[in-house]
Amino acid sequence: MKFQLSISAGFAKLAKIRKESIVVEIPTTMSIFEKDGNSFWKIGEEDNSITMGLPASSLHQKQPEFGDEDLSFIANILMQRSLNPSLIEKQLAKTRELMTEYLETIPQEKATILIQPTDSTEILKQVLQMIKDFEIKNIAITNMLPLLNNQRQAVSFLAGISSFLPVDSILYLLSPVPHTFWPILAYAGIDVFNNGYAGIASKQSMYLTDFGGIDLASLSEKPCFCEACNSVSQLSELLMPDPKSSDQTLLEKHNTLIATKKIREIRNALRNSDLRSYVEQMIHSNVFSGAVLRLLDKHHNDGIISRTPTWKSSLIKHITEYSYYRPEIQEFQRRIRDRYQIRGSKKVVVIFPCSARKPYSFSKSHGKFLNTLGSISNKKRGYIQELILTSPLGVIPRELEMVYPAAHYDIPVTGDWSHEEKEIAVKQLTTVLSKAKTSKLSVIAHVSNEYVELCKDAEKQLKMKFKYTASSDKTTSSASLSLLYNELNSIVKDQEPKIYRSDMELIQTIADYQYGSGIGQEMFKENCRIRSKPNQPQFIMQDKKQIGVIQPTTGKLSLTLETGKTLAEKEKYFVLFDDEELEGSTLFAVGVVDADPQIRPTDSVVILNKKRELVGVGNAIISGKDMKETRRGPAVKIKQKV
Amino acid sequence: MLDTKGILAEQICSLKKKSLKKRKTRDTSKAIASWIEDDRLIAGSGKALVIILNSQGCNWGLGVEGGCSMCGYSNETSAIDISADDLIAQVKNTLPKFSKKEFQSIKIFNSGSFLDTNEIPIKAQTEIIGMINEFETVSEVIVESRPEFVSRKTLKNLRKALDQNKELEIGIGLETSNDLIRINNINKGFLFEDYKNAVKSALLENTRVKTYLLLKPPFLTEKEAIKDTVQSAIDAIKTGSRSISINPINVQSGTLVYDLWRNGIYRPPWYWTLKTVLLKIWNQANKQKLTEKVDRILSDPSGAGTRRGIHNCSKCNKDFIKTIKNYSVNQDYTILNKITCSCHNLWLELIRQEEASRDYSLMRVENPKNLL
Repeated sequence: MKFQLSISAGFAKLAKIRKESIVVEIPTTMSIFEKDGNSFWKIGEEDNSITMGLPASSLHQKQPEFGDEDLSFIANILMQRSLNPSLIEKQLAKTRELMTEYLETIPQEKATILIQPTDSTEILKQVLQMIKDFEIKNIAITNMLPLLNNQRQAVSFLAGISSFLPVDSILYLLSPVPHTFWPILAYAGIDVFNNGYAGIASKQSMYLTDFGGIDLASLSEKPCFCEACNSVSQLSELLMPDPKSSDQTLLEKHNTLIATKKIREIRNALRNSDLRSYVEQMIHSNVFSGAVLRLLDKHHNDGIISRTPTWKSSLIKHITEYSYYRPEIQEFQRRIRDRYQIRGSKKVVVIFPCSARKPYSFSKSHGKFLNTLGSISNKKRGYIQELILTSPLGVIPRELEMVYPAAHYDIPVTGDWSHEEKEIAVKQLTTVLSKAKTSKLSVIAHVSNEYVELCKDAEKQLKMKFKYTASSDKTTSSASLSLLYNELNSIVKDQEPKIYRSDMELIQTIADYQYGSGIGQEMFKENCRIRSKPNQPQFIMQDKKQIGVIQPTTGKLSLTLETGKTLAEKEKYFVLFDDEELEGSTLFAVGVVDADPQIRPTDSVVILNKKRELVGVGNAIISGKDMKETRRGPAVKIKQKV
Repeated sequence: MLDTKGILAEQICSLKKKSLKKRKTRDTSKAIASWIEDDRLIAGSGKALVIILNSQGCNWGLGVEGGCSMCGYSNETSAIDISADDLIAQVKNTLPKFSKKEFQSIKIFNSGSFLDTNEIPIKAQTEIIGMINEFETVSEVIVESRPEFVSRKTLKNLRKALDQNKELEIGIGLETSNDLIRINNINKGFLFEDYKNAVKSALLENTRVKTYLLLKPPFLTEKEAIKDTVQSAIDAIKTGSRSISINPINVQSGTLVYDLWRNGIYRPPWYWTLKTVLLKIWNQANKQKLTEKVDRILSDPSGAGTRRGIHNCSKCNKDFIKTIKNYSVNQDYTILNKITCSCHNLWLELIRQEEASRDYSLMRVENPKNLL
């Protein structure tokens, strides 16, 4: 069997399990089937499926009988809640011995282990460490139902597993959890769901719907047009056996289709690189989903972000307040605080409001702002730094307006900022301004309405005075714009000339955002220019030589061997492999010895050989941490080799 | 020889220590409880007087290496020493209350072993049994004991004290004939071999044996529990036990089972499971021509129909309580086939799911509205 990762999305992933001609795409469902009087699990949908045996009791460590199933249980860890850690540890030592023995009989890839929620995080760690040591890739989970009423424990259990085990681990949820919990559980890392709840519900005359279920007797109108529902005229007829498969009722067929629909929606959302938005849509199914999402955002952002692609081009819709804390948003804010620095040469900062159109400079309002700035002599423009104030990202320097997710979000604009939105924006603004090295930095707030309030808060916290240049609440009126011009001009006109080198500032700011504060100035020392044509990547040219590319849809700076030198010297965003020369177009995880844990999927990285020499650059497929820990699948797509 | 120390032993002992501290002190001259109930006698239906003695409790339950995963009876015993005279007084004070009532059987239970002389001194054993001789209509006497106390010497003494025309029956908590389950899931601390020896001794001393079987020990699925109890009943009958009593777990405070139950990962068995077990035992007994070797296959579940005891759904619990009682008294297993409820299909689906997933928390989906 082979594992092939398609898309990494935080704790979730889209991947394929291949066995000869069979391809099972996960996330997927599993169901029980009987053959020759024995029960098995079937994983995947009808034609494309693999089989799994049944686990034995956790209390009797009998030698399991390994049949011809594709996945076999080699252990069921005695770690139930209520059991003392000392008891569990003693048994764990025995389990370790037995697993070593069993792994001599069955192939590694078939080996499956059963775990479950436990009272002690220390025990969970030990169990996970054992799974890692034995390189077990199939992890089944049971006794999960009580945790659906205990979100904190559910999160610490699931996130504990997902963040600890490598990306090629597959989590099978054996507990028959209702389909409405699947989106959030997939987001927390579950790959395969037992669809047994559809059957259980049908035995209780429960008619499942996309967001829940309803007693069939209390349903007065058919809300679905699936095969089963279409075959009856009265809803009560759904309790009749399915003519095509007599061991189930039509209701069970309908319920199973609802569950199948759910898993396909999850896969589709992953394919579209936006599981998060789907999870946010589904949050209204139950309070568990909402609570788990909040807890994951609050406590497990680091783990999730490390497996979230840095560079995407899909649009993010921020509809609910859950969106403020999306991992990508939190990470953008963090990078602005940690990696962005107003240049020492800047004397004045202008704060602008955001616009609905992205990137901002394509909007009418920003067109007018830029025109106004354009009327300042180019020899003095170098003193001016533009910042855009927005929700939920906070502060965006003009140079980063193209970068994901700054140019990729949409929010309902009402003029009313929530408490959280205000807090985030003010925090970002005050951090950026207080880090500036200029001694007497002037700040002009060219904002109106609700933005004024934010700036006042920031003034108070920073103990600074801002100048407000928007008159009569309209930032684009000619009066406001000329006030802005006059204010700017009065600050810069008597200064020495300082030419605005927009290309250099853009490139260096992006490089800092991407790799860390100060990297930009080292990577792009000489005079670089951007050569751009509409709808094409922007090429970074130095002495007529192309030394980098900025991707138009994501704003990502792609490395070349030339620019990679800076990172190679500092051993930042590096991947070290165990040979001297790179071969082929892909570097596989099995060959990776070390990698920068900061690396996230899609990052442009440098590849070092075992002598620590720069031998190539490429795009990361999995996180730096995963590259070190897993031996399956590709790690880096090579773009340029020495 | 198997190690009789179970995997769960240490934890059960530490739980016991905690709950034993909370024991109440009681009047040592009064029995804990006594009542008359409908019962199945060896010959037919009848009435039994039950007396629960206030004793110091089961030596296994109080011991340093033992206690059973489901048993909280030792928490109901007394922390102070109880003398032979106290025990004799308890029976003496109880019997007059029932002097005008009719009953054919007397059961004297002491939440431990009647034959353990540390618990019930020989003097008390002999005098208590002797008192029963005054009741002419009583034809059978039942006491309980762990097998290690069932010796020919002790039994000889009891038989001597009891009139010849009265049957003496020793109830032994075998729980299961499977040593691994008895030791690890239950932590009972003895082997099937020990039970067999006890039965042999009893039969030699003209004493009958009643075998208690535990339905659904923790860490077994409902399907495994069915298989285990059916097999155990057949094994017990073959050993020579003419009375079988099926005891579905009821969740008792201060036990490991209680902790599992509270955490939502133990559910007492379904009535459908008990029904299946009883029918399968009779079926096997018929097939293996064992019906001549067994007088009664009983079940008198504690906590019946509640969340902590054997239960189905709220619609059929009451029917089942009645039906099982009826079956037990009359030993007509065909009435078990007459009971129906819509939760039967749900049970079938849940035990199928439980077998495949080893999820012991499926009671959370018994009411579908809980999660939707």
